[in-house]
Amino acid sequence: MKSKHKKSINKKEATTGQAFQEKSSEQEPKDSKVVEEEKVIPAENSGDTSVNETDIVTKENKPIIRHRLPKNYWEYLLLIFFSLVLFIFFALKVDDPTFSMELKQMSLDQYLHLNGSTCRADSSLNISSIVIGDRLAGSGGIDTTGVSVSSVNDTSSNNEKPRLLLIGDSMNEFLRIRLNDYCIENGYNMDCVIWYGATTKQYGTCDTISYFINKYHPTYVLLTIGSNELFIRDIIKKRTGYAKHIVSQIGNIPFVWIGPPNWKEDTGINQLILQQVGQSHYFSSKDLSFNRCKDGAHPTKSSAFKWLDQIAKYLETEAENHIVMNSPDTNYNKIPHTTILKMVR
Amino acid sequence: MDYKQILHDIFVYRPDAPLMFNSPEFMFFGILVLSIYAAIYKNKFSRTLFLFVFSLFFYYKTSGIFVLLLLGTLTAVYLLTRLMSRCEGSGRKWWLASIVIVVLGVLGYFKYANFFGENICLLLHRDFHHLDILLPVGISFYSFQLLSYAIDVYRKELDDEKDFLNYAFYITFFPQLVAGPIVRAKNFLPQLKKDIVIRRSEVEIGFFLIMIGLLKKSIFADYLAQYNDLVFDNPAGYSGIETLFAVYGYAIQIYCDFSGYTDIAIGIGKMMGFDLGINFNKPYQSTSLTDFWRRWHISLSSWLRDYLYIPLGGNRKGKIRTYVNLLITMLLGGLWHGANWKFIFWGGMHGLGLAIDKIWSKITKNSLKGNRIAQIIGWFITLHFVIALWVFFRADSFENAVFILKHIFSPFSWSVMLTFIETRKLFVVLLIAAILIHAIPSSRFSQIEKAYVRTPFLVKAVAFILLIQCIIQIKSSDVQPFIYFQF
Repeated sequence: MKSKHKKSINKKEATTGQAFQEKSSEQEPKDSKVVEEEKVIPAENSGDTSVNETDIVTKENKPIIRHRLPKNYWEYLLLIFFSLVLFIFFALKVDDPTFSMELKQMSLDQYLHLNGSTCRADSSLNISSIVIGDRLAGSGGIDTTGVSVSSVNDTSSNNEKPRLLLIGDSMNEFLRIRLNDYCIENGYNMDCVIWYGATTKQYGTCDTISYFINKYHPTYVLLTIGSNELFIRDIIKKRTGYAKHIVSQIGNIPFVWIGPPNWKEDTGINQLILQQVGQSHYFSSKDLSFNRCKDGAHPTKSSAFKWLDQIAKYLETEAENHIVMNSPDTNYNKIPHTTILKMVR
Repeated sequence: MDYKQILHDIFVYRPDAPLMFNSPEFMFFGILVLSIYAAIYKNKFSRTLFLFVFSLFFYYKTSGIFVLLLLGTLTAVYLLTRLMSRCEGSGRKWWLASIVIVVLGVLGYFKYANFFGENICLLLHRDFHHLDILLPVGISFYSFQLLSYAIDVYRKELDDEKDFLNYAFYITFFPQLVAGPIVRAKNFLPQLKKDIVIRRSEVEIGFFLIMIGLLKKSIFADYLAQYNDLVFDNPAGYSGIETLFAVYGYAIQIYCDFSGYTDIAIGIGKMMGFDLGINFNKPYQSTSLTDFWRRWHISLSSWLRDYLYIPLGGNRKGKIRTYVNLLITMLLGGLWHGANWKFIFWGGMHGLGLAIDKIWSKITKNSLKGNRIAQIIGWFITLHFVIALWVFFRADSFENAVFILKHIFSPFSWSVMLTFIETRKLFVVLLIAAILIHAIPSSRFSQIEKAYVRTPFLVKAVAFILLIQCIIQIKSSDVQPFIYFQF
């Protein structure tokens, strides 16, 4: 085969009379079927005059281009393969909220509100840091005048009375005050946990709920998770696992999951909650109308109070585990014992 | 591990997870395709057939059954073009008209039926029931590509392609199929007939573009999008300064998203030995709106120029007609982006801006050309005009866009600026970094490209792995679809 090939000079070189044939025969590779690309690229294809251009011509005078792929083509393929392995390996870890840098819905005002808080690391929780202590109600510039602040008391020792645990996102800011009114009226104890900006993904990938259940031993759990994920695409597929984990942490304790107070149609969070807990454990808030704070999302204090009145009715009549919720005559405006969690990036 | 489920997820269309360049599935297919391609690319028929089949599969993975619509439309246009090429005179015109009707008919049904139906019923004071129509991904792109092919053949600027496989491959070539660039047949088809030579430098540049594209899309665009989405979904919940940041953020997001996609597409093409042209050239460095449209989505703006503006008369029929033509072209350009009044308004405003720009150039008789201060003022006005109009592009509705623009000024307070920077550090860092990278002049950028080529492979490999690591770190709960997929 080798002998059947001969090299021709390209037009430019022919006109300039270079003795290309002699030179090229010296350069002819041992295997003329496969030649390094730079040595055989015809001028019209290469567009690069810096390379030594030549054609291989067959007996029929038809040019045949023989070239190898450059080595870096395979190097890059190998690199992509390695990256894919890396991607798959590490991507699994992204579900861990401490690993992911996914941005959460937390308005600037909420950040401002949290700025004065003292933080301490708590290795028992799978979150970056937590802030513990009672806080003044109100976020997003909500008027907090007249709201008293209770002292920091761990009331978990009093096990005689029914004990409610209100745990969830920032919606608890006002709900807890009204719920506390009910607790005082009905002789219950209550604790509240607020994790700003939290979603089912955060609560569903750590042991926070079981941690607080073990700490406070509630007889009834009220969940308020979902407001920060109204618009997650394909949420049912992505977050069902988290919701399951949340519910599993509650165990046999009676509970109700309070749906988020939609300000727009959601992409499925309400449906997800309903699917996971059933009608008798789910209070739908999406069709209630609210007056909103200036952030457009959180109900105002008075609106949140009315919201909790509706929830109380549901707990007393429709929930699978009924609980007496006599309506309080007065607003005590007392902040219940509260733990505030803040995720720090 | 359920291997059956994994295989099903990889090979079967999932509406919730369309195949995208920045997904691990695409990396998997990329390795597979490039490996097979390496073995067969020297054979024209094999490589064309293989890439055509893969392109159809790629489209199936992004749009499911609509792959049949794509095949049907391109076959119809192929046959009609073949018939058209055999005719002269009015017959030729009629064949072209039939092609335009077919292509725009399909596009119109899938993209505009509800929009026009709703507006016509509104005018007639009648109720309109929305038709349950899904929009096939990339339909606007391939429709324009089909039209340009047919019109070029009609104008005899291009011979009709007799080889169906070559023609179908040109329309469906996967890197440019769903979001452009809108490649012209006269630039692409000749490449199919030549022997492909994949050169070391092209592989390097191709991979460099892929890296840049991933950086733009998966880091800049996707991270900025997370905050921008919060603000655009609930603008009332944010202060003026927060809204302003989101508006700037969106300008960077849409550029990084779309140009990132294009970079990846061009990079993949280059690695396979194909040239897809360029689609962006530092658009936010433009000193006038005319300049902007020479730098932004170049393949679309040149398409609109060649197949709409010039046939309308361009600037050959007097000043007023020129301005009217500009307005019509940009109005239709806006409509091309989406069936919504906000897009039409967006296009109309750009048309108006272009007309004003032309008038201004006439008044000043280009005397300000080269004047540094005039350039800076021109750049500032152009940039903010473009950014303000992006709000209409992104907002849910026209009313919401107006609200957002007003909202920037109403509760505007500089005092929260520092707090914002403090709380949204990464957002601000990425915003500034994107602006600085964009400010790099083109000449310097090609130097960077050359420096990249000279860099030892090990360094590049480490850089790529770091990039992947950053993508994993920053990625949100799902892979964000490319913005231009919806068009």
